[in-house]
Amino acid sequence: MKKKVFYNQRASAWIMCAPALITLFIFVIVPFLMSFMYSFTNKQFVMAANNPLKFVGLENYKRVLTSGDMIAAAKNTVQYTFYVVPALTILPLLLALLLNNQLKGMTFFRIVCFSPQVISMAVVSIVWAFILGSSKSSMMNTILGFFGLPPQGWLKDPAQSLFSIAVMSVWSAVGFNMIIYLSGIQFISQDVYEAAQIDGCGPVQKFFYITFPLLKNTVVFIVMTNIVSSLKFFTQVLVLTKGGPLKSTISLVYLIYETGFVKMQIGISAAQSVVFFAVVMMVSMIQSKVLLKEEGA
Amino acid sequence: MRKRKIKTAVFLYAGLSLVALLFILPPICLLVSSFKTSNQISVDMSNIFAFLPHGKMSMDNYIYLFGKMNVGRFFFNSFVSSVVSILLAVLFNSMMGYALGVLKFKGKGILLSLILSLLIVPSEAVIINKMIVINTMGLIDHMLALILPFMATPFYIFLFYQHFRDMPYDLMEAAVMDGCDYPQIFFRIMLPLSKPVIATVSILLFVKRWGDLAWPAMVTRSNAIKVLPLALQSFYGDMNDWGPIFAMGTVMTVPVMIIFVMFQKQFIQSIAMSGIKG
Repeated sequence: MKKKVFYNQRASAWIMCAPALITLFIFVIVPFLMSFMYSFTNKQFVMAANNPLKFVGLENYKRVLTSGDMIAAAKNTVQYTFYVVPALTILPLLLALLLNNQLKGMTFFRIVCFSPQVISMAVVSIVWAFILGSSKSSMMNTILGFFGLPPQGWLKDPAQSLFSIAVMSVWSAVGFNMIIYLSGIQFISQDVYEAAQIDGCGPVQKFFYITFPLLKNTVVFIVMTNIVSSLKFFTQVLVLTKGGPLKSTISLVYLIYETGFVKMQIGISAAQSVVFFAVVMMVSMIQSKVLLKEEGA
Repeated sequence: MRKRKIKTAVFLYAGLSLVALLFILPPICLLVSSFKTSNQISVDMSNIFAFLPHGKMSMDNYIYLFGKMNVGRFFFNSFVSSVVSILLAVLFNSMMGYALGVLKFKGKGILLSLILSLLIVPSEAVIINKMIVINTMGLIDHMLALILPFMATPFYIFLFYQHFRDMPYDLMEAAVMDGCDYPQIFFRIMLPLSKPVIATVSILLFVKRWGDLAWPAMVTRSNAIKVLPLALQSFYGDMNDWGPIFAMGTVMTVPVMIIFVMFQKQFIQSIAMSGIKG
């Protein structure tokens, strides 16, 4: 009897989808719907007896969108995106161009550049917190001293803390983006370059007339995925700064975490989650629009 | 001409070596410092010895971590929760990917568009309510809380789906002729042919689970269930003692590095694969 079920294509398909579907239902779809529902209520993690669960309309959204923390988080996130995205678009491209040649040892260099990606962000954070120490004799301040520059506060200085976090992210993700560029570059047919060579193109011309135009899709992909991942920066904040000093490193995701988990105000954090989701969805939609247009062209 | 080529090569190697140092030195500093006393680390940090064995090198930090701080237990927790998540995730995601990619059934279109729309839901937007779900299930501070939510991920289902969709249909027809039922086709023929995707999913998930901090911070409380990133965070917050902190960071990094060096080809392929297909 049991065997017969598995000879039925439809039944087998549903049975084989079931474990994943149930998991997604419980841990993605239900929490997602809860975010929408709770965002209109005064839900707390532990409900007080004198304050029962009730519908509060758009109250949470009003509070969220006008709160100083949210404005700081939005500002920080935009600023962080401006630090990280250009760096992660240009540096990996240069690196990929350097590494895309037939010389010996290139695999070794690729592995080395990629290796930070596998180190957990928590570890990356503490190592860089050490390097970017605020004391006069810290590693980075010593290096600055060589060039006659004064020591900096880095993570302890509200004007530099976000930049310090951006440095860590760039260091960790350059290799990842480089690999994506490299696979894009290697996709370009060698014939095109040979034809250009015969026509008398130098390396610079080759880059601007062949590599870059043919790499446009990859560049768009890199820019968009890096924007989305910058919207989510979080681990460094959780490990190193807890949003400080002076709210200079509060991020959207950290705000959701702090409101929901530390302060246990589920309703407000749900409203923040919905806002965050809307922003990510907008960027994703622009991304698929741009990529589709590119493909059509 | 040849001379010029050699000259370019020398410049290239010099430049690349400088870049490589930028990537290698921080982890070297982590590793080397983990054998030093905290005092020695602060003395060495303003000179080149930060990256070299210097002063009294000992295993003291590790003895402290594994003897006094119970880090062995945290290591075990991290390892078990990551590995079990991977095994279940590979199984469940691939089964669904197979059903969507190969089998023909009513409702397939709806399921496919469901997976595609779930792709853009960032896990950060649902994390708080996921914790409430886990709490309702009574799984706070339970190993299962670190495993169950990761058994299925839209992105991995999508990778498997793409892979199975591109497989030749003849393969399946032949198997049906031979009297295989559909799960048999999957387990005996399709899954063994899917090693690259299985490697990709396992690698991506391992790096994620092993280093994840936010989720364990939310659903675990006691030391018995603590994982390494949480322990690292609390060490960093509680004491300004760089020796044990660096040793802890090394304990977290060495296993992934070993796996990375062993499977570097698959690692790099997996990134390229997820990137191109986007």
